[in-house]
Amino acid sequence: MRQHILLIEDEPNIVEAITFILLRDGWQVDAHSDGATAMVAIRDTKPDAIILDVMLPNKSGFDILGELRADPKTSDLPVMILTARGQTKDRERAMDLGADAFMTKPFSNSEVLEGIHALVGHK
Amino acid sequence: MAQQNLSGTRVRERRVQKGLKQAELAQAVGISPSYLNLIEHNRRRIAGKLLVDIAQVLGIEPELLSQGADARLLMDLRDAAAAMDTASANVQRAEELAGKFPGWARVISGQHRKIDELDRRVAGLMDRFARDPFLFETLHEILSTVTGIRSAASLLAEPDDLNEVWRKRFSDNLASDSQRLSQAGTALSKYLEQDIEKQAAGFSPQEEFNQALVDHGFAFPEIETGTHSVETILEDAFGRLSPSAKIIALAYLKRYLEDAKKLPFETLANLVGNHGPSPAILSKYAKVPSATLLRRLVALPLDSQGIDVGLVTCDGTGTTLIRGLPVGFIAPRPQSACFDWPLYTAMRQPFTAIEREITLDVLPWAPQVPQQSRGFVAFAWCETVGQAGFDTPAQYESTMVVVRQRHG
Repeated sequence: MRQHILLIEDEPNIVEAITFILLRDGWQVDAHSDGATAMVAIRDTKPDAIILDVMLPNKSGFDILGELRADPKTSDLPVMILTARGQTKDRERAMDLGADAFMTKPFSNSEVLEGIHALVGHK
Repeated sequence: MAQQNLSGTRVRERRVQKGLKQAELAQAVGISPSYLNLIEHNRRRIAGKLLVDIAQVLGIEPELLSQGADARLLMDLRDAAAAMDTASANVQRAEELAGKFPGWARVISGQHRKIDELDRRVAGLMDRFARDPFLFETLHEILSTVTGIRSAASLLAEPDDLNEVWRKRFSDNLASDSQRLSQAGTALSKYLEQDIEKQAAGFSPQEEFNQALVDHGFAFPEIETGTHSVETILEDAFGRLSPSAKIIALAYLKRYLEDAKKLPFETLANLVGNHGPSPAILSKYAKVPSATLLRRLVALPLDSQGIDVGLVTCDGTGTTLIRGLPVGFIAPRPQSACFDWPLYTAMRQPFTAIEREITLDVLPWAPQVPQQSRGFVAFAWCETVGQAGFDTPAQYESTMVVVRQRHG
């Protein structure tokens, strides 16, 4: 059975590119663009891993990550954070909140793929 | 003693500059050439009448040999060593370095000060980047569109594996993201251009004068010794300023002269030498108005123990008039102040002395300041200036000095 990735990102062109390369690589992919309803989407789709953008409408990726880690049902879910802010303090904040990987925009397609393999592979 | 050691080096430098032989200087001041040789090699101390006599023959003020002249240099060398985490190995040898290689020491000092200035600018820019919503949004937009372009271009560049439907989608994405990037870049360029014009137009005479004052340093020994008039110094130090800025500079120099008459340099230097730089303590001995005492402290040359003094003043509206901060004291923005400074506390409590310690290590914008240099004490005093009357309301001026505390 194909492993399932939930991509939470509000930039449609980035969603399209990442979705394509993950599908081509054999993953099942769902995408969601709104921060406020992201937790509902996570509970509904039960993904094997999440790619989570920080700057989302209505709720930030950091807030969503915090909620994920606070809920026993999702506390172990692998999460890769995407952000345009590559500052050390953002990376530290993501790691403090329990992110498993951190990727700064602009990233390459191969970096995303390698990141997901590493993330789901070692879990 | 360290300070005296440097005096010997300075005697030698001045003598060579004047083209005097050791024997000639020794004879002129009534000592043997061998004794002068020991002095010049920092093996004998000079003080009192001998110091005055040597200074007279060399044509300089005795203070230039006895104190102050190289104190800033020494402090910079210590700071430079501390900043590079090599303090334990090298800081004790700063005086030796300054004595043996004064030219190289000045290069290190100059570079250290330049780094300090750049740190201030970087801190200001970092702060601006973090707080300016337009910059933040636009850079986020640029990075997002670049990410989309990079992904789409990479997929389109692959020779196979992309059917026509996906090929068309990514081509469309590439076109739309390129357009977004172009718009974001144009908006950013326009914003920065307007900002530069705004800054150029907004450089007030007061800011112009303040920058020149900081560049010159806050001390005007020629006024204090009476060797130059206020008008001469005005042309020497501030001649290139706009007419409006020169009017401000003239008023500043006149007040400097008045302050110097109330508290002459020698008296001030002796008091600080005996009691330290704290205005709270000095005010018990210096019988001058509090604001005068604070303003006079910045005219004092640095001592070699790591004391540095900065001055900030503002008018009753809170507008900054003078702003010169000690090295290492990084304010949140290059031209602004912090609402929490004692300068403003004093404004709310005129004629009340305010003293408070300030530690920079709690400030996120000051990561580059060496840990040893983060302790400061600020003293502030606010009083009325000018003559108030029935038709002239009282005008207030607040003055704050920031003293960098001694460190190991």
